[in-house]
Amino acid sequence: MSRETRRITVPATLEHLATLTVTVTDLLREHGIPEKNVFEVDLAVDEACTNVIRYAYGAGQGEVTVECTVTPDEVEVCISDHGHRFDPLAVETPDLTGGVEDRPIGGLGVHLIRSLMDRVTYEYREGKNILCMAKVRERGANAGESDHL
Amino acid sequence: MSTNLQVAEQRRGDTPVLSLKGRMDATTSPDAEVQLTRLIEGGDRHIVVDLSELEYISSAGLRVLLAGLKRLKQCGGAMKLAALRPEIQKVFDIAGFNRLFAIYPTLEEALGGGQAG
Repeated sequence: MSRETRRITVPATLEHLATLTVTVTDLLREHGIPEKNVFEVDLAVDEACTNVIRYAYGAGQGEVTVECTVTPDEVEVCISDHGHRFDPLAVETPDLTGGVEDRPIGGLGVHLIRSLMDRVTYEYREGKNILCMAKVRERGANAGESDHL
Repeated sequence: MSTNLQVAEQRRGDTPVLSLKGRMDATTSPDAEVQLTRLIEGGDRHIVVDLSELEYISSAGLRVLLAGLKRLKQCGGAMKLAALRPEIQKVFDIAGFNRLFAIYPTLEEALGGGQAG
């Protein structure tokens, strides 16, 4: 199969975080994506969904949707919500050079997403925050991939 | 792959060793935070955290470790981390945490009191 998409919508609460990330990592493993890349996408999706769960809505309200598409060239994951309009990519990268005392607690999630993924975009469309991020699939003997499905 | 976090504590001499196994994310990190806080409030000032079986860490997990380190430093203590897997080390590198923490290749080296690697 050259292209497969899986989509899930759950209430935006921390109890559902694992359901969101496992939906993505299961699909990636079924397509033979190397574990190193599964880890990276897992972490980026986790950070993005945790931000939505924590900040997009009032407590216990709203839903978050994750849509993951695997093609022969890349993995793309889009995370959307109907919460407050918020562009996470407008957040400045925290200062990573300070010592323990200066280092703020937090602010690292978006920095991790940018560092781990090859492409990250944000748009606000039809009342939805949509954060999409892509990881280019590695080629070569060590990639361990096959399109046997 | 695990979706939960197991937190275990043992003592090696006077030094408490906190072992974290599994997945440290926004859902599970509070369990580690509770244990870490309990040790610090119980008077421990030098804590070793064994990460040899930690498969995953997000910024929520990093936050818990940094908060613990800050509290320990404020009262003259220290936290040592041991046996990070390569993918965990990579997250530390991206976050710049490799320069904040004393990181040792093995638990024995962390307990031995030598220089961090």
